[in-house]
Amino acid sequence: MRTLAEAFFWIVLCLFCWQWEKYLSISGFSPDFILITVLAAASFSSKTRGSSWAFLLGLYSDVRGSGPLGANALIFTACAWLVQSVSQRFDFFDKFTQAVAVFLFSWVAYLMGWVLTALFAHGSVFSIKYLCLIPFFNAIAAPFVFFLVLGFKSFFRFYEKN
Amino acid sequence: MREKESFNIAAAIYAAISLALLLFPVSGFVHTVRAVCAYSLYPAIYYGEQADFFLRGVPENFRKIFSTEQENRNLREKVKSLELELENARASVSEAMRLRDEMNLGKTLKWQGSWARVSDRDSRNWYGFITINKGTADGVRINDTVISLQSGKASLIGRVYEANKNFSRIMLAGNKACSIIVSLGHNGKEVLAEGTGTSKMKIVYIPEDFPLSDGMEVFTAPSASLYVPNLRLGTLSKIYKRDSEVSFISADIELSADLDSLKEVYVIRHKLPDDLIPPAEEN
Repeated sequence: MRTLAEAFFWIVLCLFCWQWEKYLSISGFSPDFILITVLAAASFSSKTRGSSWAFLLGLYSDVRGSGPLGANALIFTACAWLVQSVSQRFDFFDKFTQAVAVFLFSWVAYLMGWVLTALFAHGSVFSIKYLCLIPFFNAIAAPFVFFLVLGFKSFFRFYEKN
Repeated sequence: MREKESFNIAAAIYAAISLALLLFPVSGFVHTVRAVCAYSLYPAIYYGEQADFFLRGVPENFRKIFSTEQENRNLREKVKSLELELENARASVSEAMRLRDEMNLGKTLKWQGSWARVSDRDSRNWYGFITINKGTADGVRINDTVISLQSGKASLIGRVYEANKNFSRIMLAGNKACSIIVSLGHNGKEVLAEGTGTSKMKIVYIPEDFPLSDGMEVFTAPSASLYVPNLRLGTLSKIYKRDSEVSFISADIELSADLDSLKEVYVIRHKLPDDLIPPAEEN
């Protein structure tokens, strides 16, 4: 039941991201909701489950995007692992912490993506504009997404913070 | 502790799978499948600027298939717009040739005058009046003769009825209020032609003994002091049989000038008799 509910949540999230990018993107840029949700899920859910969803959502991003298959899966898994490794030292219930963490991890994810694409796809384009804008968008959207993820987990009594 | 270990193991497994996916050449296949699915379910992305981005990871042969369709669509739109441009160009060329012919013909005219463009027309009295964009400031005077040059021939279309500073109204020959003394053939019998409110004029009183034939040319008469003499007006198009009670016959004149498609006219400045010059100009 829990897995089904989470799967439903992720499907809704993917549809939401798809429609947001289609209709609400600003000059082609929009927050990376999947990355933010992966970070939120990694902060609030059990470690194994968090990294599993990060991997699956990364694969989804790879299939949906145009980069090499496995790049986002690796990045999201690494981000989830990093978040869960430091989650005991930071208070991810604090909105400012959420925004700062998402801002930093957005940079990390983008730089890792750029390196992996350069290594495996031979067609990577480094975009300063993307690097400057998307982390800010993500940081702004982070408290909202964290709130939703936490609300969802509370609703289904999935709160498993260690 | 056990959970931490399982978490690290899971993360390592996922990372290994990700690396394997990166190392094996499966991206092209996956992106091709995605592109085929997207193209079948949601082809709109291939019509926009996102197409290049989404097709980045797709092998060249598949990319060509998708881009060919897109190219075909773009080319169709381009052909449509080029066809429209071609039609516009044709219309412009046709207009330029017509103007060139008129200008060339205008140079050979023996009269002094000026060209004017038809700027307005009364839709309720189509053959009554037209407005031209020249007025007294350009030397146009009331009762000046107005001709048009169509198909290489100069034909009378009317006279200046009202002259303002920058525009004038022309009474067309088809106007019901217009009457012109005409000669049947060059310097032939002089009769009175009247407008009918259509593209034709009518001659009501022609002596029955006068030899008439369909297609006989009609000119302004030398005695028609209001108009420049010997200007082509039209041809007899229909001759009516004599009524038993009167000794006159009548005929229709098909005007040479096409009054329906007047664009430019030529206003002839000719010397009017003193009694036809408006009082304001006399002073």
